[in-house]
Amino acid sequence: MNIYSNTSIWPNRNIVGIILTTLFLSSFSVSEASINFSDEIIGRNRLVITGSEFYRRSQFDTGEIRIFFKNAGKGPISICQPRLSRLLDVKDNESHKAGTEVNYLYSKFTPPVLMPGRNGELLVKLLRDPPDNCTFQCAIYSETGWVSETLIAIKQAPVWISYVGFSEDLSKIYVYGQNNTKTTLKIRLLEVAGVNVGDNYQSINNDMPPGDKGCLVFKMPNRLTLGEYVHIVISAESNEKEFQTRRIVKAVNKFPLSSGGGSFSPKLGLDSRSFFVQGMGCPAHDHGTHKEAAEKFLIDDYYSRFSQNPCFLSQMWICRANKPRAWYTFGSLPDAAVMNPVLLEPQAYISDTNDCDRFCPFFWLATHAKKAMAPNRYFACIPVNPENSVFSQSNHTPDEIKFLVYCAIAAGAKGILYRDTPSFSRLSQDKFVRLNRELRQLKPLLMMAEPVNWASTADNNYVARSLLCGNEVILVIVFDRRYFSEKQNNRLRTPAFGKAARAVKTQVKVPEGFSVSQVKSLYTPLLRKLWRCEKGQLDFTANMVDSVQVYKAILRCASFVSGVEE
Amino acid sequence: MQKQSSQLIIIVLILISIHSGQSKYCNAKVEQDNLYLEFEQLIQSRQKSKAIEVGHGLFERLVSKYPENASLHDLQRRLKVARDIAELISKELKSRQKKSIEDIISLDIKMERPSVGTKEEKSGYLLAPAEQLYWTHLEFFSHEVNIQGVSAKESIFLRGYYCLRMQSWIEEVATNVTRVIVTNPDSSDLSYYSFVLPLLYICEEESGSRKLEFLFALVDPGNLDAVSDFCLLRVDRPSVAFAIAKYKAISQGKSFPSSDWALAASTKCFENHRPDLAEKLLTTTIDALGDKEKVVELRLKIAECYGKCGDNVTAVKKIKQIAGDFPDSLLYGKVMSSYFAYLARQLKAEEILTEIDSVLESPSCQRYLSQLIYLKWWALRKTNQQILAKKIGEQLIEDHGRNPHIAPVLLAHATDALSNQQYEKCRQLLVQLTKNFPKTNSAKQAQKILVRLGRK
Repeated sequence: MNIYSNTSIWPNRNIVGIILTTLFLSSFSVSEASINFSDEIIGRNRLVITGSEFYRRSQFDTGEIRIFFKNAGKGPISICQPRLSRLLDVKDNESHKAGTEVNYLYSKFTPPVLMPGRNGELLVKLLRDPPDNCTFQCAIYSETGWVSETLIAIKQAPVWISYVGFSEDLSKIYVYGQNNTKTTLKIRLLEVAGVNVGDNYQSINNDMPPGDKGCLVFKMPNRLTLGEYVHIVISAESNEKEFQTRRIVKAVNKFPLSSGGGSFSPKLGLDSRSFFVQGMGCPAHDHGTHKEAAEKFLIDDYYSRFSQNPCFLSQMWICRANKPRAWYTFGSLPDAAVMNPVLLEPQAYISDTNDCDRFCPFFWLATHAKKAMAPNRYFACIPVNPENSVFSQSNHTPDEIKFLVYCAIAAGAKGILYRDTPSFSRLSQDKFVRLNRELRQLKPLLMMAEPVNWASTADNNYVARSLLCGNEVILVIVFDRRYFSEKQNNRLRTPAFGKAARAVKTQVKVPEGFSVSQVKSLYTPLLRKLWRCEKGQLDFTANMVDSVQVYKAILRCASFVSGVEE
Repeated sequence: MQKQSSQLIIIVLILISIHSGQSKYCNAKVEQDNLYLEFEQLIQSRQKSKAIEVGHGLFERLVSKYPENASLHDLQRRLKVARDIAELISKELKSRQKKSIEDIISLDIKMERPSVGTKEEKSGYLLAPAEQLYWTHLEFFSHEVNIQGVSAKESIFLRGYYCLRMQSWIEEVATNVTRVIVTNPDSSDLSYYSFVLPLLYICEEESGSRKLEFLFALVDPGNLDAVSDFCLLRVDRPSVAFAIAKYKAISQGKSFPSSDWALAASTKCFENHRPDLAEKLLTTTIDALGDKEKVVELRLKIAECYGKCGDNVTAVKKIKQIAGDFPDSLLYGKVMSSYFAYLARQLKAEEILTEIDSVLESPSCQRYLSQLIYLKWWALRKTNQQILAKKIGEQLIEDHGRNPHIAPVLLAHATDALSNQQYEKCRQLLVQLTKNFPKTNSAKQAQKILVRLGRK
């Protein structure tokens, strides 16, 4: 499965590749004349375009184009650049007028070296919002010059692969698709890492209502390698029309839990090391324009993968919590990104029209950060001490930290990084350690989990969010809305209140073909009389003591599928 | 004749059966009375396990005897909950103790194993936090044990049996906690679990803490503060927190003024965003005080607790009540300057201007005049009354030139001078500010402006 396992990587050639990439990148900004390279380096016209799509992740995103390829040649390809132009008066694919050239911020070729017979993708991040329903012509250039061209309709792709999770042992893959249309969609898994999956996969919530997500679970014939590029193809069907989408993702089974400041302390229950490597500082500062910063990242990343480790996992910090556009600008570049919550201001989230993401500004931040990265990973940076942000100026209590951590988890964070090592009293430290113990226990589920809007409460003082963990569990997180609920002088604080246990009636959608075999808190299973699952709905009573309570609804498949069950 | 004799036989038989029934009943009653007596004697002779055995038999009999008795069922449920909690905690503690002993034995090879942080929790469940166990089971213990519909003797037995079982489970958990902490001092956080059942047990009793002194003795003195904080901040039981702190002080031969403890505990409360709890503690102390000025001081501290937690609205409300209740207090000036300061934090400039003039004239506020005038100056500027603000500002600089409150006034006057291109005046004011109040935020800003002025 590892694309690098059978092929030697020539160091000298890699350096040449980097130099060529640099030259090639700059050639577009200088002159068209310098495009031609010798045909002798690698053969011509080896890239076959297998598909393309346009997607805008949110109102803050300018949008991106993805073009999918297969290397049909005999040698590896490491350079692939697009040239975009907007077509005018398009009547059909044949009849149109040549239009103006469209500038883009950066393009990223994944994997950086495409071996013969392998699939890759070219991501083109647009500089400005394109007008709806227009058509772009995209010419593709490799080292040897023009390769191919394709027409791309600027129209939201009907289905979007929102996340690809892996089991702890990298033997199972969980592909989540999101329905972007206004009708019900069915999704099917076609291919994973070169394996035609046939019917040997399990689908969860396969008939996706508009806006909903579904999951496709496949057990790999051979285990994947950490950091390996995996090519995935899914298809979506609606009103007898079929649409295919693909994605190249890295196989990752890590959920980092660490602290940004201070030294590692095993007593706090944090990880001793991280597999993700921070290559450069925040691209929003000190690296020139956004375009220059992106180019620097791509060159550094390219170099790191060849000189250090082809399975290198890159991480980026983005320090513009008050500027959501920056998240969407850089989110597609690294394997994982951390969003610094400092400077998060009410103006940023108040401007968002989507109310459901705003029960807490941190949930709103995490939701957008996740969207900006997807299907790559978002790591949450948890503010611990007073910061220049929307939260109160006093130190956060362990209950408030727990609230923020689970806000990020509920939004789909795949790692937790505390901004500082908190300085707590002994009593509070105990609570912090417990929180980390909970997260360690949840890690295997969180690695495969994707937020779904399936949970609700009957009590307005509480809010429930849910995560689908493949075909195994629906994770239900119930929040006490009193935390950070009071606003004074533009900052959010938690009002004082006495503790008490409160029963909160909670409902969760259960996908068709599944029932619930057990409901558990992290500490104990719920008594059978305290929950009921009927007609695709689970009802249970959450017992709220802390700022957050987590419950697991264990799924049971109504029909056994041999290809998935062990 | 035959009919008469057969009727006689039946009557005789009935009488015999009644007599034997009565004697059986009497025998059973005597036997039960003996068992109650034995139970009492076993308790008095401290043979707890034997007493539990006898008590259990008697309890089961009573449950069968009174199948419809709700108060008995309530007691039965309470005992079951307590047993479940004790078993849950003890099970986890035993596995921890086993692990701690294994770790001690394999210390040499431990170095080669991955560090603690990288290991994932493999067990199915975590042990719920002590406070979670407390809060989720509180409803079973929140009312008094009130056994009705049984005889007086049975009632006395049931109460005694309940106390015996609770104490035995409390001791069992406490002993297990102590064992784990002895084998692994890093597990001192487990001390909190010793207090879950006791806190539930003495739930309805105000003076119940005395029953727990045996438990305080089992806790390592180094952990007593943390356990006291746990009772105060996690389970809202200040009386137990107080009892633990007092026990610690007395066992160390130190004096224990309760008002000092209340003050220190209230600080912990607001540091943990619990001004409501701080208020509860300080109110209890206030009730016991006769000194009016001390009452004002503590009530002001309550208001400050809310203010420090960011709840300026409640702080203002509390201070206004103090001012109304104690207009002739020596601390009246301090109270009023705090009042206007919290109004300023809410940006309520109009409200300040409506009320401040009468306060400025009050003789008891003269000590706080500089702060009050400064707040008036701030409110005037906020409401765009620049001319009046300038006049008051100049008066403030002239009369209170050494008071740090004038630092922002100096800065504002300097920036006004700068905008009017009066560079020399601006420079003089900024120099005065940086020289006299170098540690203020205004001085830092003044320094930056001076640098820019120097370039001109």
